[in-house]
Amino acid sequence: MDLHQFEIQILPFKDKIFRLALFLLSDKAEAEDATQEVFVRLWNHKNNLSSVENIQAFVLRVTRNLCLDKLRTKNRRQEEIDTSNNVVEETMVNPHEQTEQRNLLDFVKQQIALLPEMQRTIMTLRDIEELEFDEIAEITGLNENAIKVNLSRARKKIRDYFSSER
Amino acid sequence: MNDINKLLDKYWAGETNLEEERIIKQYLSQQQLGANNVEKDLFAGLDAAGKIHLSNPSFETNLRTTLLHKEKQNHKRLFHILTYSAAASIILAVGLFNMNQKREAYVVEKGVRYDDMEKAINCADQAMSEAIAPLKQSMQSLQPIKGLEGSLTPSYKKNSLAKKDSENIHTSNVYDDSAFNKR
Repeated sequence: MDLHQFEIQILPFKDKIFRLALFLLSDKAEAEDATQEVFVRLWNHKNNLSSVENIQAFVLRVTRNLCLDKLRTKNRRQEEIDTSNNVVEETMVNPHEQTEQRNLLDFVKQQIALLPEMQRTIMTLRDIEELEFDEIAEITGLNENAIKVNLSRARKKIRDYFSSER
Repeated sequence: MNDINKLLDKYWAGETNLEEERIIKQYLSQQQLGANNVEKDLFAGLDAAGKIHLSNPSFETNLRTTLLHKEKQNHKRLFHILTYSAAASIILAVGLFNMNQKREAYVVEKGVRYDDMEKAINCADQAMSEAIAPLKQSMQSLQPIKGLEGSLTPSYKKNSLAKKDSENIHTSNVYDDSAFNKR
Protein backbone atom coordinates (compact mmCIF):
# COMPACT_ATOMS: atom_id res chain seq x y z
CA MET A 1 0.00 0.00 0.00
CA ASP A 2 1.52 3.32 -1.05
CA LEU A 3 0.86 6.74 0.47
CA HIS A 4 -1.89 7.55 -2.02
CA GLN A 5 -3.82 4.35 -1.25
CA PHE A 6 -3.22 4.89 2.46
CA GLU A 7 -4.76 8.37 2.21
CA ILE A 8 -7.79 7.03 0.37
CA GLN A 9 -8.45 3.95 2.51
CA ILE A 10 -7.21 4.81 6.00
CA LEU A 11 -7.20 8.59 6.40
CA PRO A 12 -11.04 8.89 6.29
CA PHE A 13 -11.09 7.21 9.73
CA LYS A 14 -9.32 10.17 11.30
CA ASP A 15 -12.41 11.67 12.97
CA LYS A 16 -13.51 8.32 14.38
CA ILE A 17 -10.01 7.71 15.71
CA PHE A 18 -9.93 11.20 17.19
CA ARG A 19 -13.31 10.84 18.90
CA LEU A 20 -12.48 7.48 20.47
CA ALA A 21 -9.13 8.85 21.63
CA LEU A 22 -10.84 11.97 22.98
CA PHE A 23 -13.36 9.99 25.01
CA LEU A 24 -10.71 7.61 26.32
CA LEU A 25 -7.99 10.14 27.10
CA SER A 26 -10.26 13.08 28.00
CA ASP A 27 -7.79 15.55 26.51
CA LYS A 28 -7.98 17.17 23.10
CA ALA A 29 -4.21 17.65 22.53
CA GLU A 30 -3.44 14.10 23.65
CA ALA A 31 -6.22 12.75 21.47
CA GLU A 32 -4.75 14.56 18.48
CA ASP A 33 -1.27 13.16 19.23
CA ALA A 34 -2.77 9.70 19.64
CA THR A 35 -4.54 10.02 16.29
CA GLN A 36 -1.24 10.83 14.60
CA GLU A 37 0.47 7.93 16.40
CA VAL A 38 -2.27 5.53 15.29
CA PHE A 39 -1.66 6.52 11.67
CA VAL A 40 2.10 6.02 12.08
CA ARG A 41 1.51 2.56 13.58
CA LEU A 42 -0.84 1.68 10.73
CA TRP A 43 1.70 2.99 8.20
CA ASN A 44 4.36 0.74 9.71
CA HIS A 45 2.05 -2.22 8.99
CA LYS A 46 0.82 -0.93 5.64
CA ASN A 47 1.78 -4.13 3.83
CA ASN A 48 -0.55 -6.19 6.04
CA LEU A 49 -3.53 -3.83 5.91
CA SER A 50 -4.86 -5.21 2.65
CA SER A 51 -5.39 -8.59 4.30
CA VAL A 52 -7.48 -7.10 7.15
CA GLU A 53 -11.16 -7.98 6.76
CA ASN A 54 -12.72 -5.11 8.71
CA ILE A 55 -10.44 -2.09 8.44
CA GLN A 56 -12.66 0.12 10.63
CA ALA A 57 -12.64 -2.37 13.51
CA PHE A 58 -8.90 -2.88 13.12
CA VAL A 59 -8.17 0.85 13.12
CA LEU A 60 -10.31 1.42 16.21
CA ARG A 61 -8.70 -1.54 18.00
CA VAL A 62 -5.27 -0.05 17.36
CA THR A 63 -6.61 3.27 18.67
CA ARG A 64 -8.00 1.72 21.82
CA ASN A 65 -4.80 -0.22 22.54
CA LEU A 66 -2.68 2.88 22.08
CA CYS A 67 -4.96 4.95 24.35
CA LEU A 68 -4.85 2.23 27.02
CA ASP A 69 -1.03 2.25 26.83
CA LYS A 70 -1.08 6.00 27.30
CA LEU A 71 -3.52 5.76 30.21
CA ARG A 72 -1.40 3.10 31.88
CA THR A 73 1.82 5.06 31.60
CA LYS A 74 0.36 8.33 32.75
CA ASN A 75 -2.06 6.77 35.19
CA ARG A 76 -4.68 9.22 34.20
CA ARG A 77 -8.23 8.27 34.90
CA GLN A 78 -11.55 10.04 35.05
CA GLU A 79 -10.36 13.49 34.17
CA GLU A 80 -12.74 16.05 32.87
CA ILE A 81 -12.62 16.63 29.16
CA ASP A 82 -11.29 20.00 28.09
CA THR A 83 -14.05 21.20 25.86
CA SER A 84 -12.71 24.64 25.09
CA ASN A 85 -11.40 23.91 21.59
CA ASN A 86 -13.60 21.08 20.43
CA VAL A 87 -15.57 21.85 17.33
CA VAL A 88 -19.17 20.80 16.90
CA GLU A 89 -20.39 20.86 13.35
CA GLU A 90 -22.57 23.90 12.78
CA THR A 91 -25.89 22.20 12.16
CA MET A 92 -27.97 24.13 14.64
CA VAL A 93 -30.47 26.74 13.55
CA ASN A 94 -29.96 29.59 16.00
CA PRO A 95 -27.37 30.62 18.64
CA HIS A 96 -29.66 29.59 21.49
CA GLU A 97 -30.00 26.05 20.13
CA GLN A 98 -26.27 25.98 19.43
CA THR A 99 -25.45 26.86 23.03
CA GLU A 100 -27.97 24.33 24.30
CA GLN A 101 -26.48 21.61 22.07
CA ARG A 102 -22.96 22.46 23.25
CA ASN A 103 -24.03 22.28 26.89
CA LEU A 104 -25.55 18.87 26.30
CA LEU A 105 -22.40 17.73 24.50
CA ASP A 106 -20.20 18.95 27.36
CA PHE A 107 -22.43 17.23 29.87
CA VAL A 108 -22.42 13.93 27.95
CA LYS A 109 -18.63 14.06 27.63
CA GLN A 110 -18.18 14.76 31.31
CA GLN A 111 -20.47 11.90 32.29
CA ILE A 112 -18.89 9.42 29.87
CA ALA A 113 -15.47 10.38 31.24
CA LEU A 114 -16.63 9.19 34.68
CA LEU A 115 -17.37 5.67 33.44
CA PRO A 116 -14.88 2.79 33.80
CA GLU A 117 -12.69 2.39 30.71
CA MET A 118 -14.50 -0.61 29.21
CA GLN A 119 -17.94 0.94 29.59
CA ARG A 120 -16.59 4.21 28.20
CA THR A 121 -15.19 2.45 25.15
CA ILE A 122 -18.33 0.43 24.52
CA MET A 123 -20.67 3.39 24.90
CA THR A 124 -18.49 5.51 22.60
CA LEU A 125 -18.36 2.80 19.95
CA ARG A 126 -22.09 2.03 20.11
CA ASP A 127 -23.86 5.30 20.90
CA ILE A 128 -21.48 7.73 19.22
CA GLU A 129 -19.85 5.72 16.41
CA GLU A 130 -22.92 3.49 15.88
CA LEU A 131 -20.94 0.26 15.43
CA GLU A 132 -22.52 -3.21 15.34
CA PHE A 133 -21.96 -5.55 18.28
CA ASP A 134 -19.69 -7.88 16.29
CA GLU A 135 -17.40 -4.95 15.44
CA ILE A 136 -17.29 -3.87 19.08
CA ALA A 137 -16.48 -7.48 19.99
CA GLU A 138 -13.57 -7.40 17.53
CA ILE A 139 -12.26 -4.18 19.03
CA THR A 140 -12.68 -4.99 22.71
CA GLY A 141 -12.24 -8.75 22.68
CA LEU A 142 -15.46 -9.25 24.66
CA ASN A 143 -18.36 -11.44 23.59
CA GLU A 144 -21.71 -9.97 22.60
CA ASN A 145 -23.43 -10.68 25.92
CA ALA A 146 -20.66 -9.04 27.91
CA ILE A 147 -20.85 -6.04 25.61
CA LYS A 148 -24.61 -5.72 26.14
CA VAL A 149 -24.23 -5.95 29.90
CA ASN A 150 -21.52 -3.27 29.93
CA LEU A 151 -23.52 -1.08 27.56
CA SER A 152 -26.66 -1.34 29.68
CA ARG A 153 -24.74 -0.41 32.84
CA ALA A 154 -23.10 2.55 31.10
CA ARG A 155 -26.38 3.87 29.68
CA LYS A 156 -28.16 3.57 33.00
CA LYS A 157 -25.36 5.40 34.81
CA ILE A 158 -25.47 8.23 32.29
CA ARG A 159 -29.25 8.37 32.60
CA ASP A 160 -28.93 8.58 36.38
CA TYR A 161 -26.33 11.36 36.08
CA PHE A 162 -28.66 13.23 33.76
CA SER A 163 -31.61 12.77 36.13
CA SER A 164 -29.69 13.94 39.20
CA GLU A 165 -27.72 16.81 37.63
CA ARG A 166 -30.29 18.44 35.42
CA MET B 1 -45.87 6.07 22.41
CA ASN B 2 -46.11 2.55 23.87
CA ASP B 3 -43.84 1.26 21.16
CA ILE B 4 -41.30 3.94 21.93
CA ASN B 5 -41.43 3.14 25.65
CA LYS B 6 -40.83 -0.53 24.85
CA LEU B 7 -37.93 0.42 22.60
CA LEU B 8 -36.53 2.67 25.34
CA ASP B 9 -36.70 -0.20 27.83
CA LYS B 10 -34.81 -2.36 25.35
CA TYR B 11 -32.36 0.50 24.84
CA TRP B 12 -31.53 0.81 28.58
CA ALA B 13 -31.08 -2.97 28.70
CA GLY B 14 -28.60 -2.79 25.82
CA GLU B 15 -30.81 -5.00 23.66
CA THR B 16 -31.76 -2.67 20.80
CA ASN B 17 -30.24 -2.98 17.35
CA LEU B 18 -28.94 0.02 15.39
CA GLU B 19 -32.17 0.44 13.44
CA GLU B 20 -34.25 0.59 16.63
CA GLU B 21 -31.84 3.11 18.11
CA ARG B 22 -32.23 5.31 15.03
CA ILE B 23 -36.03 5.17 15.42
CA ILE B 24 -35.72 6.32 19.05
CA LYS B 25 -33.38 9.19 18.11
CA GLN B 26 -35.62 10.32 15.31
CA TYR B 27 -38.73 10.20 17.49
CA LEU B 28 -37.13 12.11 20.35
CA SER B 29 -35.65 14.78 18.09
CA GLN B 30 -39.07 15.48 16.53
CA GLN B 31 -41.13 15.53 19.73
CA GLN B 32 -41.74 18.59 21.87
CA LEU B 33 -41.15 16.88 25.18
CA GLY B 34 -40.40 19.95 27.26
CA ALA B 35 -37.19 21.08 28.90
CA ASN B 36 -34.92 18.64 30.74
CA ASN B 37 -36.37 15.48 29.32
CA VAL B 38 -33.62 12.98 30.17
CA GLU B 39 -33.91 10.78 27.09
CA LYS B 40 -34.16 13.68 24.68
CA ASP B 41 -31.19 15.50 26.23
CA LEU B 42 -29.07 12.36 26.34
CA PHE B 43 -29.71 11.51 22.70
CA ALA B 44 -29.09 15.13 21.66
CA GLY B 45 -25.80 15.12 23.56
CA LEU B 46 -24.73 11.79 21.99
CA ASP B 47 -25.71 13.08 18.56
CA ALA B 48 -23.53 16.18 19.07
CA ALA B 49 -20.65 13.99 20.29
CA GLY B 50 -20.80 12.06 17.04
CA LYS B 51 -20.20 15.28 15.15
CA ILE B 52 -16.92 16.15 16.86
CA HIS B 53 -14.10 16.17 14.36
CA LEU B 54 -10.42 17.00 14.17
CA SER B 55 -10.27 20.76 13.89
CA ASN B 56 -6.53 21.10 13.27
CA PRO B 57 -6.21 22.22 9.61
CA SER B 58 -2.54 21.22 9.34
CA PHE B 59 -3.11 17.68 10.67
CA GLU B 60 -3.10 15.99 7.30
CA THR B 61 -0.06 17.93 6.05
CA ASN B 62 1.91 17.13 9.20
CA LEU B 63 0.86 13.49 9.01
CA ARG B 64 1.93 13.23 5.35
CA THR B 65 5.37 14.70 6.22
CA THR B 66 5.76 12.28 9.14
CA LEU B 67 4.80 9.26 7.05
CA LEU B 68 7.18 10.19 4.21
CA HIS B 69 9.98 10.68 6.73
CA LYS B 70 9.21 7.24 8.23
CA GLU B 71 9.29 5.72 4.77
CA LYS B 72 12.77 7.18 4.11
CA GLN B 73 13.98 5.86 7.48
CA ASN B 74 12.59 2.40 6.66
CA HIS B 75 14.42 2.41 3.31
CA LYS B 76 17.67 3.40 5.02
CA ARG B 77 17.23 0.68 7.63
CA LEU B 78 16.53 -1.90 4.93
CA PHE B 79 19.64 -0.81 3.02
CA HIS B 80 21.78 -1.17 6.17
CA ILE B 81 20.32 -4.59 6.95
CA LEU B 82 21.04 -5.79 3.41
CA THR B 83 24.59 -4.40 3.48
CA TYR B 84 25.39 -6.02 6.83
CA SER B 85 23.80 -9.29 5.73
CA ALA B 86 25.90 -9.35 2.55
CA ALA B 87 29.08 -8.61 4.53
CA ALA B 88 28.23 -11.31 7.08
CA SER B 89 27.55 -13.82 4.30
CA ILE B 90 30.91 -13.11 2.65
CA ILE B 91 32.77 -13.49 5.97
CA LEU B 92 30.92 -16.72 6.68
CA ALA B 93 31.65 -18.10 3.20
CA VAL B 94 35.37 -17.27 3.47
CA GLY B 95 35.51 -18.82 6.95
CA LEU B 96 33.83 -22.02 5.79
CA PHE B 97 36.10 -22.23 2.74
CA ASN B 98 39.21 -21.91 4.94
CA MET B 99 37.94 -24.51 7.36
CA ASN B 100 37.34 -26.86 4.47
CA GLN B 101 40.83 -26.22 3.10
CA LYS B 102 42.41 -27.08 6.47
CA ARG B 103 40.45 -30.26 6.65
CA GLU B 104 41.78 -31.29 3.22
CA ALA B 105 45.47 -31.16 4.40
CA TYR B 106 46.59 -34.80 4.49
CA VAL B 107 49.33 -37.08 3.15
CA VAL B 108 48.99 -40.53 1.60
CA GLU B 109 52.07 -42.63 2.06
CA LYS B 110 52.22 -46.20 0.91
CA GLY B 111 48.44 -46.26 0.65
CA VAL B 112 47.99 -44.91 4.21
CA ARG B 113 46.28 -41.56 4.65
CA TYR B 114 47.61 -39.24 7.38
CA ASP B 115 45.28 -36.38 8.41
CA ASP B 116 47.36 -35.36 11.45
CA MET B 117 49.74 -32.61 10.33
CA GLU B 118 52.68 -33.58 12.60
CA LYS B 119 52.50 -37.24 11.59
CA ALA B 120 52.20 -36.25 7.95
CA ILE B 121 55.31 -34.05 8.17
CA ASN B 122 57.32 -36.79 9.93
CA CYS B 123 56.23 -39.30 7.35
CA ALA B 124 57.13 -36.97 4.48
CA ASP B 125 60.53 -36.33 6.16
CA GLN B 126 61.25 -40.04 6.42
CA ALA B 127 60.21 -40.61 2.81
CA MET B 128 62.53 -37.83 1.66
CA SER B 129 65.45 -39.31 3.67
CA GLU B 130 64.86 -42.68 2.08
CA ALA B 131 64.72 -41.10 -1.38
CA ILE B 132 68.03 -39.22 -1.03
CA ALA B 133 69.93 -42.06 0.74
CA PRO B 134 71.36 -43.52 -2.54
CA LEU B 135 72.42 -40.02 -3.60
CA LYS B 136 74.27 -39.52 -0.30
CA GLN B 137 76.04 -42.84 -0.80
CA SER B 138 77.23 -41.90 -4.29
CA MET B 139 78.45 -38.51 -2.92
CA GLN B 140 80.55 -40.35 -0.32
CA SER B 141 82.26 -42.36 -3.06
CA LEU B 142 83.31 -39.02 -4.65
CA GLN B 143 85.12 -37.81 -1.46
CA PRO B 144 88.67 -39.09 -2.41
CA ILE B 145 88.55 -37.00 -5.62
CA LYS B 146 88.15 -33.81 -3.55
CA GLY B 147 91.85 -34.06 -2.44
CA LEU B 148 93.03 -33.80 -6.04
CA GLU B 149 91.39 -30.39 -6.60
CA GLY B 150 94.76 -28.43 -6.35
CA SER B 151 96.66 -30.61 -8.76
CA LEU B 152 93.95 -30.25 -11.35
CA THR B 153 94.26 -26.40 -11.53
CA PRO B 154 95.93 -25.29 -14.86
CA SER B 155 99.33 -23.50 -14.67
CA TYR B 156 98.15 -20.21 -16.28
CA LYS B 157 95.45 -19.96 -13.58
CA LYS B 158 98.08 -20.52 -10.93
CA ASN B 159 100.25 -17.61 -12.29
CA SER B 160 97.37 -15.12 -12.40
CA LEU B 161 96.37 -16.04 -8.86
CA ALA B 162 99.98 -15.44 -7.68
CA LYS B 163 100.01 -12.01 -9.41
CA LYS B 164 96.77 -10.94 -7.73
CA ASP B 165 98.25 -11.86 -4.34
CA SER B 166 101.39 -9.69 -4.85
CA GLU B 167 99.25 -6.67 -5.93
CA ASN B 168 97.22 -6.95 -2.80
CA ILE B 169 100.37 -6.89 -0.69
CA HIS B 170 101.70 -3.76 -2.55
CA THR B 171 98.50 -1.72 -2.09
CA SER B 172 98.47 -2.51 1.59
CA ASN B 173 102.05 -1.15 1.87
CA VAL B 174 101.07 2.16 0.15
CA TYR B 175 98.27 2.58 2.59
CA ASP B 176 100.63 2.04 5.46
CA ASP B 177 103.04 4.70 4.09
CA SER B 178 100.39 7.40 3.85
CA ALA B 179 99.38 6.64 7.33
CA PHE B 180 102.98 7.03 8.41
CA ASN B 181 103.39 10.42 6.50
CA LYS B 182 100.35 11.87 8.25
CA ARG B 183 101.99 11.26 11.51
